[in-house]
Amino acid sequence: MSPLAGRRLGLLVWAGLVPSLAVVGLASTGCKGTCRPGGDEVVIYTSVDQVFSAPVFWEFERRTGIRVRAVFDTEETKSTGVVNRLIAEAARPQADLFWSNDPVRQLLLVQRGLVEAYLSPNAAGIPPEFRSADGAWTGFAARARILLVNKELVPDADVPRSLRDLADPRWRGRFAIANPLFGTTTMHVAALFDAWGEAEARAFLDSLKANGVRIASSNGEVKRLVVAGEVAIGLCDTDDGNEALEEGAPVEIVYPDQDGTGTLVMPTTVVIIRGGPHPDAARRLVDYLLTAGVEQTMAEQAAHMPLRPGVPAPPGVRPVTGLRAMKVDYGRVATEMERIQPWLQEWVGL
Amino acid sequence: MTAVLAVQGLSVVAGRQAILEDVSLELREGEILVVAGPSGGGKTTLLRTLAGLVAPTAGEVRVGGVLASAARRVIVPPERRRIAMVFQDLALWPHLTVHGNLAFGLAAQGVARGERARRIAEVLDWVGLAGKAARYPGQLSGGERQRVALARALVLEPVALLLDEPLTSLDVAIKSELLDLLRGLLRTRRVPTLYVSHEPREASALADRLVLLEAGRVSYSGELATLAHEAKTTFGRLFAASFPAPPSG
Amino acid sequence: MVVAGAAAAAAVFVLPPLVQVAVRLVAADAASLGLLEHDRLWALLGRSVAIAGAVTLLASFAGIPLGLFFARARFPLKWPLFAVHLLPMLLPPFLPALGWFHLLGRSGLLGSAATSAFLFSVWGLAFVLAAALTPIVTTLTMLGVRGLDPSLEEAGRLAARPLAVGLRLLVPAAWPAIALGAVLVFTLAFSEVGVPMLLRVVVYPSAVFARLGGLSFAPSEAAVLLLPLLPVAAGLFAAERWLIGTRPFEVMGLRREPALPLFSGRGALLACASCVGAAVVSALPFAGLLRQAAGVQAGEVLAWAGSSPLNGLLAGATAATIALVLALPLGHGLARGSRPARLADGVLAAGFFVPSAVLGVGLIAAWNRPWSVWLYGSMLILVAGFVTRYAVIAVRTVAAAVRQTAPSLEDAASVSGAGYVRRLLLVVAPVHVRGLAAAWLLVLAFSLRDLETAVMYYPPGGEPLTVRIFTLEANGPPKVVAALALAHAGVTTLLLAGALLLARWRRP
Repeated sequence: MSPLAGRRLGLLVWAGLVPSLAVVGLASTGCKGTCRPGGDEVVIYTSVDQVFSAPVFWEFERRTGIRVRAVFDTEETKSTGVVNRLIAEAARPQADLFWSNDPVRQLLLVQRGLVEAYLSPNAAGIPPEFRSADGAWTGFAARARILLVNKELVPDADVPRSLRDLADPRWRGRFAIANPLFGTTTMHVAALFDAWGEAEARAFLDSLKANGVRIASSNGEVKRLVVAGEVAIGLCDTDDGNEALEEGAPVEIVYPDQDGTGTLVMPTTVVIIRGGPHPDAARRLVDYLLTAGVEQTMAEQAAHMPLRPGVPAPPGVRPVTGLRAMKVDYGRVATEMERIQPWLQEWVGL
Repeated sequence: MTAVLAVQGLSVVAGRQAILEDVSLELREGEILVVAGPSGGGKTTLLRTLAGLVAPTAGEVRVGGVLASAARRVIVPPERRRIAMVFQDLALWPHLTVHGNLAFGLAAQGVARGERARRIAEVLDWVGLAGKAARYPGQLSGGERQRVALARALVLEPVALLLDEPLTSLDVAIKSELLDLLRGLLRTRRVPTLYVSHEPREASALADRLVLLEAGRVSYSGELATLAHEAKTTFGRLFAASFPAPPSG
Repeated sequence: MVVAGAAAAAAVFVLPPLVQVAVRLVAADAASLGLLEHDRLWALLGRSVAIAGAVTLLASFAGIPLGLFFARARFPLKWPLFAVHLLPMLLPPFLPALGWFHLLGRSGLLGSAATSAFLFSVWGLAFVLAAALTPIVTTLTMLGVRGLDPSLEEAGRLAARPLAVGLRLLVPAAWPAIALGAVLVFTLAFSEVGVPMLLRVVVYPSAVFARLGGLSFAPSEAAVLLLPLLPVAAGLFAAERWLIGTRPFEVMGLRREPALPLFSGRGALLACASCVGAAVVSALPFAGLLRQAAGVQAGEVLAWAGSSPLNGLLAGATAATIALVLALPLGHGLARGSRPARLADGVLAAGFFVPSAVLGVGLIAAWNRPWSVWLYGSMLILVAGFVTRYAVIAVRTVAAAVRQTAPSLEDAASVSGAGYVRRLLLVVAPVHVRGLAAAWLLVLAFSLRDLETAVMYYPPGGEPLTVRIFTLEANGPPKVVAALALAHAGVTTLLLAGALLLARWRRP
């Protein structure tokens, strides 16, 4: 190398740095081939599993030409990661919408005044108990909390029918729930506190602990444990159960307490973020999500239960109309979730 | 006449240990000054301080009469002193060819490309390495590397040349060959040279004047011939006694 | 001046998010501070330190001899074996962990009740993490040993048997690189969240994560939970200074490698067997994933992958380039004892040591501003996050390389009239071109394996592949998830192959 190589070397550094910065700059506009510069886009944060929500967005893009940029929640941070991000970004919202996989987290945003009410014309068919009257949030395609039972480990006669069966010594150390600090499990526990009262709910959870409950990181993990035979019974969501069935695992889905307080039903919900960058596109996406077509897709692809009467659902997906649903006020459940948090942390062990 | 390099009351302390203590010396126009002394006597530190690679703790260094280093300060940075140095480990840049090693400093001084090539060819010719310009240091023998290091220093046409025991770890035959080359070159080019060595033979072959540096202090400064009489230390007497007999006739 | 400029640039990346964290700490109320009174918290911290320590010990015991063998033994297929061994280091550990689950879980390929009990325990966690992180020690040991003056080894061989030469001469001589490896392993093991969650072992960082990911958004509480980490971080700093410090190092000779391998005959056999073993341990979890992915549709994988592999690569490559530009003056300054460089190194190290979840909140708070919207919400936030978290690795790698060469190379340039910039670009950079390449690749690799930081703030629609796999893992088609994990491994393998070619290239 000759000493003049100084210049050459400098050139090399720039030759590496400048294009990579340029490419990243280009990529950062969010337009990668498929969308025209300056084209419409909408930003959605969702805690609905990417495997189900992404195809819905693709279809919306195909129909409207509006590009959907999404932030998906993850198994580990289920339902709380994006909410926290929405709160952290509150001073300068980056998202237009939030599609929650449960009916309470969006209330955290509503309580903080981060939500813009919108009464979509398509919300009319949704039963009123699954949406707010002022249009702050609207529910659709729902899941339920179920018991997933490994049939190789549990004979027919022993299959539990109620949550309270988990406290039975025969299941000692052989059942799992997801960490109640996260995801739908938090909500389930809060609903029990609301429905049963403080003392009874605490006693129940303590009896689970005494009975050697295994705490998994997530509902998906609970499913994996049941399918793998690590435990006999797991408390998880309908979509987890359906996935296990599709894998051909020897499991049965039990909708608990059908002859008692009922099964907890959890619609997914959508809200518009106040001050988001693309309000018009946001309303169009809400309208689209609330069509019967999307509920049907979610039923077929994600085993989510349609809330509207008359939306066809595949076999194996129980329509909400045919189910004894636990009577809950989601607003109260949300308050309860915040209130019992310290106790839950104690219960989990920090 | 101003000295090319002048050192006045120089001390260098590293941690708690004094490496140089109150050293004063001068390098004059056209002379070869040999600094000798036992290992660990501070010879290398003296050279590094002269080159501006080490800041003195006390005292000053003048280059061509200009204050270059003072207590805890390097005023003229090494790259502006126009002092060349041959390092004990040679410090040839392994990623550059012989030509590249020589051209590096010239380019840094802004010497034009054509002029560079001319000077490099000339100096390589002096040291007997014409035709090896495209080799990498890793492809050269020990003696050849020594010549490259010398050529790299000379090509800069420095105001002074510092040599740090450049001939150690060479075999006897190559050593005497290089010594002859060095003496010839330094005499004809008249580059003021400060030569650090612990070898009486090298000292007697090269030195116009001699400085002995022991434990960081100057224990002798003067002509070679008078060392035998005036040496105050054991090392000085032993050093004088080891001079080879002057060639007869 | 350049060093100070680079130090300032480094501070621009790291300080804003850290300041945001500190602000939350200052704003913490009594209730949050009360968290510190829980005994359980300190027990958890102790457990996390113990696990990370065990992982570091395991990784060192395995990685140091392996590094020595890979550096100085000669046997067929050495480099392919090395590549296989390295692979897990370049992936988020939850991918191999998932593979181990498919192998050792109750219904896994090799699974039984016993293996499952082992896997889902503190011991299983330590094993999975050690298997994933050992290659870091191996690589740094190998690089360190190969950077040594061959005469050191040859002088030793006149006096001692090869293994003694290796363990008593080469390993101590290459110590800064090895110690760096150990510190990295400890830090990564300590801050890992994904694998402990998968294996249901509660560790300290997941408690921090819970404060953040829990129902109530409580960044102040999470920040308070950082306080107990300060002594750990300070301990790491101290250990590092003590282990690496400013020890003088053998000078890189002009000669290259000794002509003869250090290990021959029975020694070579031992080396070969160990390296094969290491490669098998690294490959096993991928066998689990491969079995899971069998028969997947390529189209389906591509559809789900989308642009995410490109996102991660682009952001990672840019971050690596920026980190390298910072690391050249800073790493060199660090090796040569410059004060601003040491300061910048400390700041960058803080970016690495702060738990990723907390750093994520800091990054959002720091960069989601009206004037920086061009950064936040674009790919550049990924770049900023990667630089913040991983630039220190580049600085340390460059510093380790520079420490191993004699300063006289630069002094010679200095007396030849070359100023600082010229010395840096024309002597330091080309002499250490392999060290620089290694630094660049390491930052890229760490960015590619990053999950926990990026997941907090990736731009909408711009997630890197690790995040895509992670989000898809929730109820996603297991075949596709396994295939994507393997695809990630494939991309990384290509990078690795390039790196190895680079490592074998040498100047004449």
